This record gives sequence, C-alpha cells and structure tokens, in this order.
Amino acid sequence: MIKKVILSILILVLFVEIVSLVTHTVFLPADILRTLPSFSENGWIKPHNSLLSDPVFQFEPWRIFTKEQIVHGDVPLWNNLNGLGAPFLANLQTSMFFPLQILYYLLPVTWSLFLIALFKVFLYEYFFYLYLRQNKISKTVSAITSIASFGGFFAVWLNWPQTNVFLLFPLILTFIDRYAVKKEKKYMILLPIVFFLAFLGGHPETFFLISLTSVIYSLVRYRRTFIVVVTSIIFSMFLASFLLFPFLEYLFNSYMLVSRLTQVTHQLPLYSLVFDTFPYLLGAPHLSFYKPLSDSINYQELVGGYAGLIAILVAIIAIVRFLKNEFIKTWLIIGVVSILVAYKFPVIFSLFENSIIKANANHRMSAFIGISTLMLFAFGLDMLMTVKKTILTTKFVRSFSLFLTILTCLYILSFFIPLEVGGKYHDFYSFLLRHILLILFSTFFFFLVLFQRRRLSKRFLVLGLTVAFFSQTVLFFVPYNTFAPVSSYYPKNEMVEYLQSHPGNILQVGNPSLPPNINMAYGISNVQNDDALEVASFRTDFDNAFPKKNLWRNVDDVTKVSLENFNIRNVISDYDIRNTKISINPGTKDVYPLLNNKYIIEFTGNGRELRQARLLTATYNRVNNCIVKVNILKVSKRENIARNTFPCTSVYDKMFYTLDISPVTLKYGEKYALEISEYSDNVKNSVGVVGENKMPYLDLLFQDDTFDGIGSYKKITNFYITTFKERPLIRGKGVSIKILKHSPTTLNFIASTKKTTQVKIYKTFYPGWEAYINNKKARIGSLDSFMSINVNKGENFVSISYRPKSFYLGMFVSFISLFLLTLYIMRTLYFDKGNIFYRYFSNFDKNFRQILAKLPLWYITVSAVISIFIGTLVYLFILKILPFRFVYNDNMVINWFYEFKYPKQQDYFFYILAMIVISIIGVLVWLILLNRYKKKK
Amino acid sequence: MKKTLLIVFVLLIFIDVIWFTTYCFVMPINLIDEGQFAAWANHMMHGEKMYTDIYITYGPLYVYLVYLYMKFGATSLQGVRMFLFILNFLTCIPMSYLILKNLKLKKITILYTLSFLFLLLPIFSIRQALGFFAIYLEMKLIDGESRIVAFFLGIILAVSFLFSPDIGLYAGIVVFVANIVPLIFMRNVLEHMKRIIYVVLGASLVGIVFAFWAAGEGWLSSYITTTIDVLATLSGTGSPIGQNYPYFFELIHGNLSPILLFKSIFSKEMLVYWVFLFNIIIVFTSFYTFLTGSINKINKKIFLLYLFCLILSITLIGRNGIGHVLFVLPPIIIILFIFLERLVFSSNEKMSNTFRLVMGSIIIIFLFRILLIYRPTYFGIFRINNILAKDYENVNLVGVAPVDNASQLKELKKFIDKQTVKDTQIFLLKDEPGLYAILDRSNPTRYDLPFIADSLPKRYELINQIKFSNIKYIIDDTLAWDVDGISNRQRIPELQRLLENSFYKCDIIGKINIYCKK
Repeated sequence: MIKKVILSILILVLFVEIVSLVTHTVFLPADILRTLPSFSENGWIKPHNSLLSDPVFQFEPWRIFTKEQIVHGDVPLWNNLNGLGAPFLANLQTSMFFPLQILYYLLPVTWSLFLIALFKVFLYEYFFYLYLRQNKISKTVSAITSIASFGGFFAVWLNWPQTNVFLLFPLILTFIDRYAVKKEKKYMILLPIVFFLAFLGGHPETFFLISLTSVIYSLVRYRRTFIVVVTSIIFSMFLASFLLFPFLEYLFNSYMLVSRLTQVTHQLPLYSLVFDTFPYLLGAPHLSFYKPLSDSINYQELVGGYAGLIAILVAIIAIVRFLKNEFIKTWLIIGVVSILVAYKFPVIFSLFENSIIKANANHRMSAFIGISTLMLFAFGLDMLMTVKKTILTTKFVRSFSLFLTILTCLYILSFFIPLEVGGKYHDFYSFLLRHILLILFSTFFFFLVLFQRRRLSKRFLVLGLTVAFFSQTVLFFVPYNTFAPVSSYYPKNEMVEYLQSHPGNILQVGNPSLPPNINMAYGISNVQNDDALEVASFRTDFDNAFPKKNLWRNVDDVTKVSLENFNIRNVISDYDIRNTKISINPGTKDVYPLLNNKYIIEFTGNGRELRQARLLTATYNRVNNCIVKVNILKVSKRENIARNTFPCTSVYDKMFYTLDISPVTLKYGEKYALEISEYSDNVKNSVGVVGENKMPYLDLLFQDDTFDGIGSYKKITNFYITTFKERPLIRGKGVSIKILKHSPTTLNFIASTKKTTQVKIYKTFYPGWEAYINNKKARIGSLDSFMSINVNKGENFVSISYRPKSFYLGMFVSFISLFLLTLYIMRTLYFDKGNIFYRYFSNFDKNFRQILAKLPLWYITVSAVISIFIGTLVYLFILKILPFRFVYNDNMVINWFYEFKYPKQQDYFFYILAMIVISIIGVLVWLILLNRYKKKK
Repeated sequence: MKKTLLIVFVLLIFIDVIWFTTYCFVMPINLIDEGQFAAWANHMMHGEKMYTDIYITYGPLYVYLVYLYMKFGATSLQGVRMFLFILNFLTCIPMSYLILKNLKLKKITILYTLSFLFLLLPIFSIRQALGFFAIYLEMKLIDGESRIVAFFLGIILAVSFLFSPDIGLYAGIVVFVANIVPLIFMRNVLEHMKRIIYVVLGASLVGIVFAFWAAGEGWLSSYITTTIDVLATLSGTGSPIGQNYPYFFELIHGNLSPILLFKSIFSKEMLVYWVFLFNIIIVFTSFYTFLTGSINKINKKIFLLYLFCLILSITLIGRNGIGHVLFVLPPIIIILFIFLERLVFSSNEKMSNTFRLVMGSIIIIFLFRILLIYRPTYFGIFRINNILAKDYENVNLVGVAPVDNASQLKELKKFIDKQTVKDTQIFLLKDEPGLYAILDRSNPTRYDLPFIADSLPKRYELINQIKFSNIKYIIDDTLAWDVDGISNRQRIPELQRLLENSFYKCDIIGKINIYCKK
C-alpha cells in the first residue's frame, strides 16, 4: 500500500513536471492580466475566463509575498505594499497556513499551483466518496457522484480559498456519522482537527457555513451528537487562535464590517434558482457569450447550487419514494434551509435584512443546495438501481422523445431561419438552444438507460449513466479553469519597469492599470488595498480625500493636496491629470451601439483650452475591427473645430478612452457639440459607448496649471504616469530624518531635531505597532489615519515595529490547545486498547522484542552505524534537491553574520532538519536491517 | 578494592591540587570571564543598579553573589576567579555525585566520573550544577517522593533561572516534559496534577520574593526586558555573538590523506559534529530502550539526562567555539560513564568481550581527546616556579596571578588614578570589562561588553549614554581580542563616528590609546 502511494505520488510529480516543461504553462488564469490596458499594449485580448480575476489580482500576489517573507525568515504579519500598510496574517484569505500551501513554498510555481488544485479536487472527491460509502451507497454510485461533485460550486471557486474550506465538509460529515454510529473517541479528536484545518483554509464565511450545516446535520440526523460537533467547532477555534484573534481584531477595525452592515443582505433572487438547472442561460464567462445577472450577481454566484437536471429529478424521486429514510430527511432539510438562506424569500428576507446575519455571504449557502441534491441523487440512484419493478412507461418514453425531436428540429432550423426576435442575439439563441437540448437529451438518455437496466449489461449500464450524468456536470465545468502561458505570469512591461525604478506609492486613476494587490507581485506599493477587509480609518480618510469614484470603483479625480496627504508619488491615469476634468454626461447605466448610429453631445464653451475628451467604450466582450470617428463642432455654424479617429481594437470593454485633441480654445457661452460615429461593416465588428438617457458618457479636459513644475510626466501606450518628486515617508517640522531600515514590520530611523517635535509617519495607524526611542518605549499617536511620534531634542534612534498582541496571545492559546489535544490523543491511544494504533504498536513491540532477544549486540550496533550513515546520505540528498534557502535578512545588527551575509536561520533549519531526517530515516533503516537478520536466520 | 579506590582518590586529589594551583596562579587572568563579574560588582559598589545601569547577560543571583563576595572579601580579579572556582567546585561535584548515586551506579564509576568532571572543572559551572540539581530532584520524584520534593524542585528551577536564564529554561523544559509525559500514561491524573501544582508553587514563591527584592531596588522591569532581550538575541541573526555552524566538508579539508583525515576528525573544531553524533546515538538508544520495553525507573532518569543533553547542544548552533563545546559536555560525560559502566559490569551474555573492548575504547578515546584540550593547563604547573620566582609587575586588583600586558595596565592604572577621581566615568572600547574593576571607575553606558550592543537600538542607547554623560576618557586597548574577529569599531560605527567627531587622542600608553572629549 505504502509503495503504491509513493509510486503514485512520484508518477504524479513526474507528470506535472513533464506538463509544465512541455507546455510551459502555469495553472493560473494569468491571461486575465491582458484584459487590463496596461498589460495589453497591442490592443484588447479576450481572456479565457473574465471572472477569474481574484486568483490573479489577489491570491497569487499574496502567496508571492508570503513566500518572500518566509524565505527572509520573517512571519508575514503586515502588508507594507498596500493601503500604506495593512494587517496581512489577519487577512485569512491568504490561507498561508493551509497545509497544501506548503507545496507552493517548496516547489516552483509551474508545479505547485497545478498540484494544489489537483490535490484539492482529488481530496474533495475522495472525501465525498468516503461519506457516501459510510452511508452504504454502492461503490459505483458513490464513485459516479463523487466525481460529478466537482461541478458547480467547487469548480467555479477552485482557485479561491472557499474550496480549501469546503473540500473538508464531506470529511466532517463522515466523521460525524462514524462517531454517531461507532461512538469511538478518535472521531471526537479528529473532528476538531478537521474543523481546524478548514479554518486554516482561509475563508471564515465558508467556515461559518460548513459549521452551521454540520450542526444542522448532526442535530437532525443524530440529535445528541450535535453537542460533540459544537464542541469540536469551539475547540478548533481555540486551536486556530493564532489566526482567529488577529482576524477578529482586523474585522472590528475594518471598513468591510461597517459597509456590509449598511448594505442589503447577500441573497440571490428566487428566480435565479433556474440556473441550478440550466447554468448557461446567460452564457458563461469561459464561453463566447456571457452576461451577469446584475452588477453584484455574476455567474459564479448563480451556479453555486448546480448539480444538474438529472440529479434534481433523481433527488425528487428519492424524496417522494423514500421520505421516511433518515438520510433523505436530513438532506431534504439541509437543502430547504440552504434555499431559504441563499435565496430571497419574502418573510425570511426581511428577517435577515434586520439582523447582523446580513453581513455574512448568505448566498454562498447555495453550495449546500448542490451538495444536498447530489446526496439525494446518490441515495435515489442507488435505490432505483436495486428496485426490481420497471417504473418508466412506454408512454413517457414516447412523449419525452417527441419533445426532444421538436427541440432538435428547432435547433437545426435556427441555422436557416433568422430569428428576428433576437436580431443580433441570433447566435446566442442557437447556443442557448444547444445548451438546453444537451441537458434535456442527456437527462432523457440517463433515465432511458436507468430504466432499461435489466436489459443492459452492468458495464454498459454504468457507462451509460456516467456519460449522461457527466455530460451535464463535469463536462460543463472542467474547461472553466485554465492554464496560462508562463509568459503571461506577471510579465514585466514598460510601465512596471518604470514604476520599479521610481519607487513610491502609486494610485490608479480612471481605468484599472495596476489594481491592488497585483502590485505585491512586483514589490510596488499601491496606496489602495483590496483584501476584502481594509483598515476602516484609512479607507474612510481615503474616500474623503478622493470622493469621486467611477464605475470601476477607481478614483476618477485627484487634487494636489490629496495626493500629498496620502504620500502618492506615481499617478497612473487614462487621462492627463494635469488637465482639469469637466463632466458633461456622467451616466453609465446603458450601452449604446455605434453601428449605424451617431451620437451628438452638446456643451457650452467656458473660455478655456480644450485638450482631451474622455469617452466610455464597450466592446461586447469581443475583438472588433472598426474605426470610431469623433468630431467637435460649433453648433451655430456647424463648423468642425477638431476631429479625430481611433481603431476599435484599441478600446476596452466598459473602460475609458481618452482622445487627444489639438488644443482649441472654446469661446465662453458658445454652444459646441461632440459627434461620435463609427465606420463598420457588420454587427460583429462594432463597438458601443456607455451612457445614460441615450447620451454617451463624456468628460472634457481643459488646460490647467495646478500641477505644473511639480513632477515629471510620461506616456506609456495608453497610460499617463505623473511622477512627483520623492515624498519622504516620515515628516516633521525642523526634523532631519535618516531611514536605516524599512521592512514590512519594522521601520528604523534617526530623527535629529533641535526641540521636541511631533513627526508623522505615513504608515497606517493600527493596534500592534510599538515604538522605541533610543531603546526606551514610546507612545505612538494617530494623526489622520497615520502614525505619529514625539521625538526629543538631539539625535534619536527610533524603532517602530509591528508586534500584534492579538497574534502572540493567539499563539499562546493555540499552543495550550494543541498541547491539551496532543495529551488527550496520547492518553486515548494508550488506554483505548481497542484502538488500531495501540494494537499495531503492541503487536509490533512484542514481535520486535522477540527479534532483539535473538540478535547479537554487534549486529545491532553495526546496523545502527550503517543506518546513521544512510540517514545522513538521505539528509544530504534532501538538502541538494530542496530549493528552500533563507536569504540574508539585512537586520539591525552588525556582527559576524552581517559581515559575511550569512543567514543564521539556515543553521537552525539545517540542524533541526538533520536531527529529524537522520533520526527518522536512520531508525527506519535500522528496523529493516534488524528484521532482515531475523529472516536470514 | 578499597585500597585501589584509595590510591585513585589520593592521585586525583593530587591532580586536582595541581589543577587548582595552575588555574588560579599560573593561568593569566581573563579580563572577560571573571573580568565581567568583577566589573559588574564594582559598578554595583559605585551605586549602580543591576540591569537598569548595567546590561547583564547572566541571572541576578549569580552576579549578586560575586558582589557580596567583593563587598566583604575580595580585592582582586584573582580572588573572583578563586571564588568562582570554589563555588563551581562546591556545587558541581556534589550535584553530579547526587545524580550518579541516584542512578545507582557502582562506586568506582561514580569516582571516575567525578574525577573526570573535576579535571574539567572550569567548564562545569554553578549554572549547569543548578540545572543538574533540578534534574536530580526530578529523579527523586520518579523514585516516588512527592510534594515537598516537588515544591523544592520548583524553588530550584526558579533559582536556576535567576542564576542563568538559559540553563533555567533548559532545566525547566526537561522538568516540564518529565511531568507532562506521565499525564499520558497515568490513570490517576489528579494526584500527578497536585505534584505539578507544588512545583509551580515552589517556583512562584521564589518568583514573588525575587519580584519584591528587585522591585524594591528598582530594577525589576529592567531585569524582565533585559532577560527577554538576552534570550531572544541569542538566537537568530540578532545574536550579538556567534559564527555559522562549521561546514563538515570544509573541516576535513576535502583531503582524503589518512593522516590529515585523522587530524581533522580529532580536531577541536570537529567536536561539534562529535556532539551532534552523540545526540543521534542518544535518539537511537532511547528508541532501543523503548522497543525493548525496558522503561524502568533508571532508564526514565537517564532519559532526563538525554533530554538535557539534547537541549543544551542547541547552544552550539548559536556559538560553537571550543568554550561552548565544553559547556555542553558535562551531561555527555556523565552519560558516557553510564555507558562505560554497562560495558564493564553488565552481565548480559550477548555482550562479547570484543564488543565491550571496541565500544569501551571508542568512549575512552573520546574522553581522552577532551582531556587533551586542557593539556597546556596541566603542563602549566611546571611554570609555577617561574611565576613565583618572578618579580612580576603586580597590577592593583589583579592579585598574584599573571595578567597579559601587565606593565601597560600598570601604567594605565597610574594614569587614571592621577588624572581622575573615583566617580569619573570612563569607557572601554574593547571587550575587557575586568579593566573597570582594575581601574575602579564606572562606565556611563550599560554595556561593559560593547560587542553586545551591536544592534541598532542598543548602539544608539550606548551612543546617547556616552553623549549625555560626563565621560572623561575612552580607552582603546589595541592589543585586546576582538570577539569573533569583528572589532567594536566595525560593530558600532556610530561609536567610531562619535570618536572622530567629539573626541581626540590625548595620550598613548604602550599600545593603549586614550581619547579625551573635545
């Protein structure tokens, strides 16, 4: 068994290596970066899946940052690259302690990302299988259902931390069942451990939901067992205190908590339940067609409960026929509760709306609708496969066949007869029809095979059911995630190189250019943060300083004072911020096609020089080959005063396009108009403009001298970068500052002043920061949302470091909890004689004593020497292949290590690794050698 | 048998007298080792507070004993050396004896072990002795004694921590493990928990008394912050001292010539790998004991020694010079003698004479190699005549022992006595704290060993203390040893700048530069 597992892992690693070498790809939708104008200099490129931005914009940069910090021998407590500093470890979504992440820390990214995803899917399906088998579902049905469980929620959120948590849910259920049935203590121990691992997964909301569902499950199915489940959840919280405490501290200081409590509850509209049957009704982001249901409800939210029509129908049959069964009853209740929580039902909605629960992502409860459906399906299918009498009547087969034939004909006809109802949506309707047809056909085929089972061989029966079921589950979702070429993995372009050579905080204005937290992948600091929580005081001050936001929720307007107040050095904008922007039509609700249309926007002259015009374009999620024409004319004389054209390939979907205009002064009070039209040959090569009330969005930019002479200016493809002179991180009146060290968690500087003065440090004020002046503790004050400190007359060495008490207290609680748990486990293993471990060891012990009694001492000693030697060789081999090396961490100390740039952590790492490897491998080899001697004899 | 024992005993006493004479009268006074204790005690006699005004890397009780001794007796650094020697002798040998006796070893083994440890006495200080005492009390608890012993164990643990934070911590870990493991195997957990509570009570009692004393004298909070700093900075790159663990393949010079290989294997530098190998052997031995099911009381007690040895060896990762190798050796030596006894006296039929001979020889070679490290000390006795006959330049407060560069120090002493009064402050640029005691002047900074102040906060603390003090001289003995080969001018560049900007060289005595304030 062990040999098989080792062999399988080796083959898997080899396979991943070959795949990554041959294809030179990485399992990350990194191609999405090229949807940003800043990363697609040669025009817009359609990504594989437009919704997979978070893994690229956030999770991967977080992983890069974490690995970098670990290699430097630091605990990644603080993110110094976003929002002028924010807690990092407290941001649970980084999942930095999730066991599978170890692969990321140890292996190259081309291997690790794929292996992590692979293990996630494998483990989820395996746990699902275990659970079904625990409930006596046949092996075949368990296997089919567990593989199909990949569809829906798990597939669309595969690259998110949600699935780290969710993958353990079936395992939790298995342990609950085993405990309830066998009453063995070991499940009481395993349950909190699994809940703890789920917490490390990094998504507190999903953790809350699986905990809630586990409690409901145990309560409904086993009544008293729920106490064990609740205790396990509480104990897992103790184990995870080192993360929980900093997280709670961050949560209560977060902008998210405030904003969520003022938002409407997160629930899905009731009618969207239909997407759990037909997931492509609005297309899908990885296909040719896609439209979100609304601004806040996208495809991923809609299909969370998807399990397929087959599963739903079988589940209904199971409910109708076996309602009295405890298993069916339990999952029916969970399914109903999930629907009530995830979807807006009139009374329940208002209950949620008026309680704190609305702050939770309740709509994600839809995942449990999918899982309930699959459970009911598995039970139902298993029963139906064993029922002797035929259920399906010939009449039913005939009518279903007729229905399918009509649909097929309609589909074929759609290629010949123009469906006027759709007009330009013709292709989409064909696609939709095909989609519905596939679902209906596979459903029909499934039932046909199922009810003709007695006439079919078992192999064909299984094959038929699997093909039909997989065609509407696995098949739909396997292409959802993607590999991307290594070249698109955070490429270094001109903009990135420019920003790296001009260090300082950046701010993106207008279009997204380097959204937070992508900057972390490049070591660039961004004044904004997007970690889902955000420090409340900073975010509020930021919003007050930059009140105007656009449809991307980006800052759209800046002032000199606000840039200075937030220590911003580089502004990346789609328009030249040195101009004054005047909004003519700010509406962004609708999209208007330019094909065969001309839009005229009138405005009045203000006596200033017009430099640029800013439109909001739409590409319909495709690459178009056309030309957009813009004219500016005097209304009274119909005289053209400026004109310009631009290719449609240079516009981006729902992004601003800023048009340079030859400078022209608009006469005060005179009426002018801007005309937009398009040269295009057909509907598939046409763009649109965003606007409202049939008027396109328009900003006009006039010459201004506010920013003159205070910074340099550079245009890189479609971006303008305004760089101001380097702004000091620490400022104080009459204080000279020399920064000695600046790392994420430490800032050391020398402040020289002639009198006691307050200095302002442009780092976010947050609990956990401590200051020492000349090795004596000092108080940190808050000035706006930043830190401030009083320095005394003379030269002061100031050391500010982030040492969150919440983390250290949490570590203490976690350690105590882990200690108690270990103690309990050891006691249980020792006293519980029925325990498998105990039995194994006592037998081993007995056999070994017999062996040892017969062995001469010289053999025992010589074999020990050989074993130590082999253990040492293995250790040296591990050192050779393990790429993990600490980097010298430039610290505050000048000593031998500093002089020779030697990281001390390396010695500790090598020493402890040597002790562990040589001891374990040596002892194992020793046991083998001793055993061999006995066999020879 | 008795006659043999007597002869061995007499011989050993003779050797030990030689050892004491050489160590205390022939070997030059060390201005760092006994020097730092003398300096701290001297500062305290000038009215300075421990930890608040002096950065002390040891526990307060250790320093306070030397302070009391100097206050009421000693007038020289030699006196401090003798005091520490006798203190070590009076504690180490009895503690080792108690442990060996508790392990029920044969008298002859106990005698040999004690003699061997006695021969290496300077490496075996009261710090380790207190750790051993805690282990001895834990052994008594394994024997079944309870409550009072547990309470006393708590007291000793706390005292050990107050003597030496690192040894106190290591002994604490051993006691912690020894008391936690039974919680797994005992049915009656409550009874055992009571014993643990007594240990905690004992430690708390000392802690409370100490807290009142330290708070009364006004250095409690400084003690806590300094001790945390000492424990924290002695690990990782923040370590004020230390070099990297020697690279094995560099030690054997990549040369496979048998003679060179032999020399490399038995070199002083290779001893760290000997210790590492010994730790691995300990793991194997423990595993063997566990598998053979011979977990009796004696083996449990030996396991305590194993654990202490494993934890103590971690010190070598931070600093691995010969001094620190010797520091971790005492438990290893005791364990080796236990092994030896089993080889010689065991009635195990499986143990052939050849086996006994080979294994015994390996142990004896190792022990002999350790003894060889101290060969200059033993041969030093032949120089006693020269020392006694020599009309050497006795430096005030050194005693009758030699000291390096004595004439220079004497000149310096004269200079300081002439130019300054008793409360004048001076600062020594090199790590020779003993000079503060010799010159009988106080230091304006907390750091008598400036190399410890190599981190930025401490560097600036030191600089500010010099800047805002009435310091008269900064003394730079260019002949003094640089710790780890890194000079304090390198370690504290701010001090170098301060010297250049605010001081000038106002005198030279031999190789000693004296800087005055501009």
